Amino acid sequence: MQLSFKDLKHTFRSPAGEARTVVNIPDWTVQSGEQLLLQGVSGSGKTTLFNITAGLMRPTEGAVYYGEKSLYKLPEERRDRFRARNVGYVFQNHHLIQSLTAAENVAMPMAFAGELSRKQCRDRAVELLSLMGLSDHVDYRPEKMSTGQRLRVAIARALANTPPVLLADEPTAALDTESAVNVMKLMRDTCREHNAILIVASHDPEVAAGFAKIARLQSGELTVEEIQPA
Amino acid sequence: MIYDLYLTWRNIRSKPVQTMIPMLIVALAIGLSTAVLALGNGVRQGVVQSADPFGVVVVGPDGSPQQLVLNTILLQDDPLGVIPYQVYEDLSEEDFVRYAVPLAKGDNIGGQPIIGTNENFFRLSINDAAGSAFQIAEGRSFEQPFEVVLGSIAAERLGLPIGGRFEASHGVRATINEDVHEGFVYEVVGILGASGTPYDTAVFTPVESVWQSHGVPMEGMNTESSDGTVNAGSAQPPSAGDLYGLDIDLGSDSLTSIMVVPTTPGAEVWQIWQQFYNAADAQAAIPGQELGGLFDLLSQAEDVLSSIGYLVLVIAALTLFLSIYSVTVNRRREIAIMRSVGSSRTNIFRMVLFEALIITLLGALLGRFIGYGAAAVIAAGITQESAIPIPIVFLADLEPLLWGLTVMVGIVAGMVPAAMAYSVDVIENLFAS
Repeated sequence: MQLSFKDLKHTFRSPAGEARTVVNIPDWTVQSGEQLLLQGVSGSGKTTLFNITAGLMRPTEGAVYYGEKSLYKLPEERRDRFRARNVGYVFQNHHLIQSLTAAENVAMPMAFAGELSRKQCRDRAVELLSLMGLSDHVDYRPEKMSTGQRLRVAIARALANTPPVLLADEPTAALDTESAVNVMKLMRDTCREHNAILIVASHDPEVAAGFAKIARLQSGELTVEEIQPA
Repeated sequence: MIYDLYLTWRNIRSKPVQTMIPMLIVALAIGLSTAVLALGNGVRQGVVQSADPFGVVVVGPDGSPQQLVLNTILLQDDPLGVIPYQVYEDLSEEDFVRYAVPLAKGDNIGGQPIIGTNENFFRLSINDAAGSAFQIAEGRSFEQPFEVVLGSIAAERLGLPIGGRFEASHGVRATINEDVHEGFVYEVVGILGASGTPYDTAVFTPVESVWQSHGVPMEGMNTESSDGTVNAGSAQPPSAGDLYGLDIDLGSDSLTSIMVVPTTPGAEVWQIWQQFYNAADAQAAIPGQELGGLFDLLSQAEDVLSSIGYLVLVIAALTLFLSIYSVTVNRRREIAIMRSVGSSRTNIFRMVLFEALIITLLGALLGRFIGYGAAAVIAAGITQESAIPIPIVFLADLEPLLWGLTVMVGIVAGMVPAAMAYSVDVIENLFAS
């Protein structure tokens, strides 16, 4: 499934009433299986673009297409289900639910997608956590886990429904270099395996080094650059 | 929907204190309402059972017919005064009277009322078919003045065996400063089996014993002090104050009331009642009719208590609302996370509403235990005190209403927080610092 943006524009209004366009993408298509790095200074609109792509924030203008389907033409209830099935989103702060165990957090998107039984959701969650090296932590609550472990739970949750699009916002920000490299490898390998689109927002040069395509957001404008292998 | 319920239950379990407080308040409110209703129902049934067990008409002095019935049948309240023994003799000769039972009260032993009567008392039967309600379980019936037969509960409370002796105290119930009828010694000659009526708490003696201990000498009767000294009977007629603290002169032989058993059960009741309709100093009262008036009073008391119960329920609903509201405010980020991974607004709305409903229903369940438990304890206390059986039964007719009310409270209390959760702004709460 390809992901495309048509005449996409998002404008914020300051308290003084001043309009500021943070995303302005006339036409951009990401092909199925593509992996790219999204860069831009703080406040350049990376997170806003991710939120719009995930169907969480309606853009001021334009459309986001998953294949032929226009995301914001779907009624909200269907868009929620669509998000559960088609978008994996790894947040910078992981956003795990503290009262649930690691396995329950991972099972959540599957349960909301409504395609698997509770037992199947649990089995798949345990399988994903094992893939992340957390087989001993399936019944741990996030508060009992390290930052790296929480991130891996968040990645497992994002991959739960094997989504065709995986978004990761500064996923390695709180990790040491070795862990960051491992986590990135895990995400990239998984996406490659499922031919899924992977877009990673990161300032980390170690992370950037692995990508052949970089999208840069500057004052809302997007430019895409191919990196030739050295 | 099942998954929403599962997440709700996990959320409730993760914060037991915030759940327990509103749940307990709901439980207390429901418990209070249940206890009031169950007790009201039990008292009604108990009084109905005890009020007219023998199918009698009660004849007694003029005054409140309700008090006459309460005192004669349920052994509650004070006697109204006295009527001449002649009334009993006249009634006994009437064709429409099968037999009459004279009753003279005024003394007690250890708080158990002493009832002067005759052998007719032991003919009284419940529903007329089961034989006498008062069967001698041990010993024999009284034959002489100052011989007594103990009711089953009285025997248990007093711990007096056959052959046990005692002096009676003045008054229908025990007081701090006991006024003992010195010199008049009663002897236990028999103990009755349980009849399931308030009379199980009483001590029975020939009516002459009561007259004599209050100053009416009986021919050929002497009395004996507890130290064994033999005394001649007093020549002084007893005064009303002597018996009950009432300002009525007591003749040489008087009764506090008479239970009249009609020849045909139920048939001559009105005939007996009419006979006393125009009498100046006596009246006939029909227990069932008089207790109908008592139920009106009971209903009023029940209404007041039920109103308090409903008020507490409103307070419980408000507490529940505040609790769920505050929990939802604190859960906005969690709600935003759930939305971001695919939960819909409807899922979130349901979860908050389920939470309110689960807390309310658990509270209501606990409230049932509290309510029926408290009612049973109070009923046991009343039964112990009065021997009026107060059956606490499951209120099958009222339960659907009570549960309906509970669900309504849960929905009302959860609706606003659920609506708030429904409209949580995902981006604002997901990325709030």
